[in-house]
Amino acid sequence: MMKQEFDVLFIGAGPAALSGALHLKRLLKSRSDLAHISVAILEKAPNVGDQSISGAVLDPKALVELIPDSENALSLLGPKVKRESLSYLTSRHRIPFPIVPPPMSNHGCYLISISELTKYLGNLCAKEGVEIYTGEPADDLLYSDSGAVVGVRVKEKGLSKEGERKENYLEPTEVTAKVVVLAEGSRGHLTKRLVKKLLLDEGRTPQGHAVGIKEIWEVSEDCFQAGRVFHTMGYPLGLDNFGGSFIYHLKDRLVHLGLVVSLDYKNPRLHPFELFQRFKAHPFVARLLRGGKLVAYGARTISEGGWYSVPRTFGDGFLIIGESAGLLNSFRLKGIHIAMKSGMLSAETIFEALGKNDFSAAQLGSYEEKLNASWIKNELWGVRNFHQGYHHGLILGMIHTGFQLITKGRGIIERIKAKEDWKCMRMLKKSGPQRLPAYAPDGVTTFDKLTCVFASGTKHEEDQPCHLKIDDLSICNGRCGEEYGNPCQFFCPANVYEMVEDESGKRVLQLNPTNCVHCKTCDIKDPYDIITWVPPEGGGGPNYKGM
Amino acid sequence: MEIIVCIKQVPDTTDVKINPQTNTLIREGVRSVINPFDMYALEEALRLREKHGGKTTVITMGPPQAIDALREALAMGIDNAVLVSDRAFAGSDTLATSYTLSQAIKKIGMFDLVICGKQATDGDTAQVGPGIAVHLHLSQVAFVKKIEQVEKRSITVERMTEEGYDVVRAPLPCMLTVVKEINTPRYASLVGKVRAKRTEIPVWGPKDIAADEKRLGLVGSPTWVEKIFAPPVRKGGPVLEATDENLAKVAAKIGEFIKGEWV
Repeated sequence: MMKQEFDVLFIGAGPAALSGALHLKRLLKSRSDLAHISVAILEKAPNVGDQSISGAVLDPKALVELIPDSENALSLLGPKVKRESLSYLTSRHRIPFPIVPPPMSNHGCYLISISELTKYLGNLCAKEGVEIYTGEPADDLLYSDSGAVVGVRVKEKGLSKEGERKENYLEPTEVTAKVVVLAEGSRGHLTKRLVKKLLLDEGRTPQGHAVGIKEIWEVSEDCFQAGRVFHTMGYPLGLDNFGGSFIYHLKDRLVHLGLVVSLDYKNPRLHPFELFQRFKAHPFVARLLRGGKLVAYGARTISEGGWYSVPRTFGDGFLIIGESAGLLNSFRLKGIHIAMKSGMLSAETIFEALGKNDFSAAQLGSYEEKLNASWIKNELWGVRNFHQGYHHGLILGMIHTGFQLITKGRGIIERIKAKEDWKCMRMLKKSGPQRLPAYAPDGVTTFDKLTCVFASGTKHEEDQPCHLKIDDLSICNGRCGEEYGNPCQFFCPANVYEMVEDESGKRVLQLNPTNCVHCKTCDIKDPYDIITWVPPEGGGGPNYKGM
Repeated sequence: MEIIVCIKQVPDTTDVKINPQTNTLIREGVRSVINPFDMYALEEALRLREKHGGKTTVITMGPPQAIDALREALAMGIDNAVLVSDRAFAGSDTLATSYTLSQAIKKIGMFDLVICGKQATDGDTAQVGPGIAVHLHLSQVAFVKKIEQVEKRSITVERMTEEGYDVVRAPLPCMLTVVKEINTPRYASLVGKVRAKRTEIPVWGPKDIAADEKRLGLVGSPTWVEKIFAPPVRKGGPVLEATDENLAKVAAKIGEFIKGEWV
């Protein structure tokens, strides 16, 4: 085992970690006795931004606090939101709401690509002396004898499918640090393990997720309106399933559009990918895409549970920031600004801890105080009951939201109960027949999954152990088929899970791990909670450009 | 054993698109990597060092961002790196490039072996390695697929040919270009990447390598590119379905096809 030591270590080069590392490096410059402190970020993607995906509408609040010439940065990143609307879609028509609910208003916000934002922040970090190492997935946490987090293990490379060492085998590396900051994004696999081990979510509402499926299209000149924002509800999700769509006109005739589906859905046949394709065939959307072409595809889960689902975010030797901690405003459909701010607050916490050379939970706990005293708490408190209000359908949800809007977030019920997403799925016999007609892609505006996976640029070393760990395959090939109809083949937006017939004609699960876009839906939604996503060999995964 | 590896930073070919109007590579937004064939050269140098001791040095000529390629080589375990970079080198063809690199190698001084990849994936000329050997008056073996033996004054290698391979013994110092059959390049470790990131890499200009300015860059490059074009897209060949009954007919058709009579 190789060994490497840093002073401060961030896991995941997203907006949270990059903002935190940048802010910390600048703070350290003000203290000559701390100027030598090393700040490193480990990222699984081959380059910063390659696996960053979001809508995205950016509230520039945190960027303005972080960067002195944020005006310049924002003008590079994308257009300001010029016009926006929220509509309800029926299967043929669009009914615009007369107003956009105030929390959803994007006045003063910018339409950006999160890959571009992370690249931009990554360059600033590099200039300030933050060390960013890419293609380096951490696959486990290291603990001291007393149980404090002291580092991570970076995954080995060069194992064959069967787990044997190939000629170019590279052993794992133990990376130690005074503080480890988890910034893995939604459903971080290390965060998940740590939360479970230290019961960090005790007394919290279980985290609720959604899956967002997104495409970038280059559209024709006459369809394009830079700065235009559309949000829709309704078709093709209907009234039972919570979610909605976004259509953002960025720049260079590029339109970013996607469908977000809450993962507390009940029908095991629900097929988010197909629903998104159907959405594109809706006359309102198809008109926009006519003559255009698909540029890129991607998918990622979103942590939507809100304030009551935020776990304890600190402990001996570690902090949790950004979406890993569930810090996201699902009503505003935004998390980047909060992630960035939480990163900055973690930097201030670590700066104080370095000054005292104390990295215990007692010292690092000031991070939570800082979160509570910041605008993050303010913003998330106002929408604390939003996501859970929609569990019983759109209409009840909108009634909840209405009351929440006039009671500063409290609504009809304070702290609506929720269960884990995987527990929400109903068995086939209880979920009624499939109502939608069979889906047939036209190859022009709608596609099959493999075409889309190709557009995501996803690539993995073929000869490596499968990175989707299934506890008991006999459930997949037996019970699950009867009880749920193998929903993995539907909820996976990248065709990783496929049911095929074996020689004896029995339907069995075939895994295509090289298709995986690292969205984590399977880790969240499989109804037996037996799938665990672990990082594949460093550098593998989607290759998002401008996502 | 003192080994010098010459590498080139090239656009990642898995990422490349061609501009249909100009027939040139669209380099914007395309990431750069070490020329894949040079990875085998780096790996072979590391294996020789592990076996025979000594030091490995990597050099590249290129724009300032080529330093990333050198860092990657250092991360794999190469001991030293030198970037040869200056505006005066811009526009070099294979003659000027091999001259420039040979001057840099002279400055490094003592060495037993220069190793290059067989060719770069962007230009595909396979001329720079042999050019360096000529400038330095070295013996050279191209397309090496195996190093059999290293002795005090000579090296024995297998050189790939179209039919098989030749076994060649060459006196040291010597220049080799290697093919992909020679080894499997190792991954860079995190520890190696940290070391590479924290290493200062010297940048040499024309004066540092005592180069004759007239032999550098565009001025020193007699090659000019008259036209760049994409070869016409070839249509797939006809597919004939053969059954027991029509076998003779199909054979006759194939015969016509080979003679070019079939339209």
